[in-house]
Amino acid sequence: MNGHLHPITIVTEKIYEYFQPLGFEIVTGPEIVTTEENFDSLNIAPNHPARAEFDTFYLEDGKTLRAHMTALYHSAMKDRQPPVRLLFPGRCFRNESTDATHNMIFHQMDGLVIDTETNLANLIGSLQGLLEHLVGDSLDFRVRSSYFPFTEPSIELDIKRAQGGWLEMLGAGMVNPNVIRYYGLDPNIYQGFAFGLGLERVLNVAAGVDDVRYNLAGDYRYIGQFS
Amino acid sequence: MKYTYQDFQRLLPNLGWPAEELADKLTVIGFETETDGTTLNVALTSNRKDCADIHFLVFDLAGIYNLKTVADLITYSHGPAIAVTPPEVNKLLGSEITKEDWHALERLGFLVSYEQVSPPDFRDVATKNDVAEEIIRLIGFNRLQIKELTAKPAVASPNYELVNRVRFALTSLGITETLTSSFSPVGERRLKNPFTADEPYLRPNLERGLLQTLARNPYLKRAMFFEIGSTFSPEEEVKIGVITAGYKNNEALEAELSQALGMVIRLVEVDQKNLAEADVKQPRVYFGEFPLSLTKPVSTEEPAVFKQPLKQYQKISKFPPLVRDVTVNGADEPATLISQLYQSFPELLLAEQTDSFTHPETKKVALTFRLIFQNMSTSFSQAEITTIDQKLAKWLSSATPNS
Repeated sequence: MNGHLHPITIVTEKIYEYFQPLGFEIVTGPEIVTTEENFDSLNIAPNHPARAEFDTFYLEDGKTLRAHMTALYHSAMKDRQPPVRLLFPGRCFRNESTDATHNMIFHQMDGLVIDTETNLANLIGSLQGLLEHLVGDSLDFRVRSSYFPFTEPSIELDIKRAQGGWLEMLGAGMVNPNVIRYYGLDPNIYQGFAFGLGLERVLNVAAGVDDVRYNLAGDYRYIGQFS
Repeated sequence: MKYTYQDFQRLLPNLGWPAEELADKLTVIGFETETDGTTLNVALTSNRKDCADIHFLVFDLAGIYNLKTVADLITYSHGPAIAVTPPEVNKLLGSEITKEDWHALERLGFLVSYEQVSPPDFRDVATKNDVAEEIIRLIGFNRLQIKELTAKPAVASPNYELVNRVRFALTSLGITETLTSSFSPVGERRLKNPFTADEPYLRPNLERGLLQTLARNPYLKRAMFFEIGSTFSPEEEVKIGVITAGYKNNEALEAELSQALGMVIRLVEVDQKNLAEADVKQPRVYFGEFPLSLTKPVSTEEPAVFKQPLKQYQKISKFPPLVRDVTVNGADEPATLISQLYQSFPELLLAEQTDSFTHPETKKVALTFRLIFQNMSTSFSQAEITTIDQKLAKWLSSATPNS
């Protein structure tokens, strides 16, 4: 007799279920953000080539739709002092073509930890713990070097597909010292990690959902399956 | 950038990896690479434009994996020194690097001492974090002492908890959550670069998306959906939208909603023009929208789904489903009945209890179920529908003689 929760809600809670005992706070915020929040505060200068990679939606007043949940870090850190452990679930927007693996509206869960000691090994350990929490410990994964302007070192975590090859699961890294400085903190004292996880990708890997577009289609046959 | 496998063979005389393995090795050290066996397509990130020249890419590859290259591969000088020590890198990485690891930076063209390093002048390396990245590329992630974060006391997340309490309250009334597009043909916040000219605005309210949800499910003669999401009119505000279709008595639902959410809720019948525009087939459609910030949802129990493993997705057919509502009298074990239904009907996608009634005198229980059947390869033929109906009638008579 109960109605159904949307699978995006369910998977958000599953991720929080792992991080809550680790003292993470969930932060929410607006979908319209400034270019400072979307880019400048994340070490992506106006002429930085990475800015073009986000396919950002702009409003006529010059603001933007958040291209990633990382855009909320800046406002969250204005009100907080380290140590912090934060999660940022929400809807993101990129002006790109839609197909079974991409949608211009999608959902992410970002994580941010800043203190004086959390390191890359903690990041990889926590992401491994999260994946085991979501899909069990049978999953084979690899970590590889990558590049994001707001993290350094940057990594991506891939999981092995049953049919062979690797599937990119998430991006992460140690918070770039320039970003820490942007929060008014001394990067010689403070460090931490950040990660961004696509919730549609989690549904693909953990539940076998083969088309991201179902999540905004409102089909009862889809929504009704998960609860 | 595209390079041939022969390019790599020419510059790395002892290269023993086939093209596929070479692509994997490049990918792991930060150069995402695909290959068809003869060509390697290397994605260069904006901090590694130096590798647009294959000589620099091979220099990096050879440095990381300690491979022999041809002589005089590249020439370079050194950039400014960066003050950084192995303990500082260990603190960032959670590693225990050796003196040999530290000096492995020389293979990437660095000048190295204990307290500082000077990168080659063609590299975008300027901070201790940059140096740590080079070290982890050299030693590999397997050398880290992988360790989860330590537990800490739970921290309150009031906004998230409020949204979830609203969700639990609404689903406990039988209303299903949906998510819909943020873009709209009308509105007050216009996009400079909309995806389509038909939807240049951010949605001013949740009505259109919820109508589209009803239109997507024409086979549900009675349906209730809600969405919690940002609206823009013109200020951004998170609102709760509720839509119902096919119910005769919305006053009872309004009363239940008002009680569950701690505020007065009114649902208004949707204009026929809006229904026609959205191609909604159901009759008696009512909609209401209210700010999340004004709700004071009563505490409800966390739904069981939060405590269960994530269910596996069952593919849904592109062909119309067959929906049947059936009532079973005198039964009191819905989970058993649902399990029997799934076993009996391979075409059954969803079976769920939608209502129950306890007779005031006999105390006998009647359970109503919604059954959604689907055919993956074609629309149901009349003969198939008849077969399912006959089988269902037989099942019902076996489940309870009074059905």
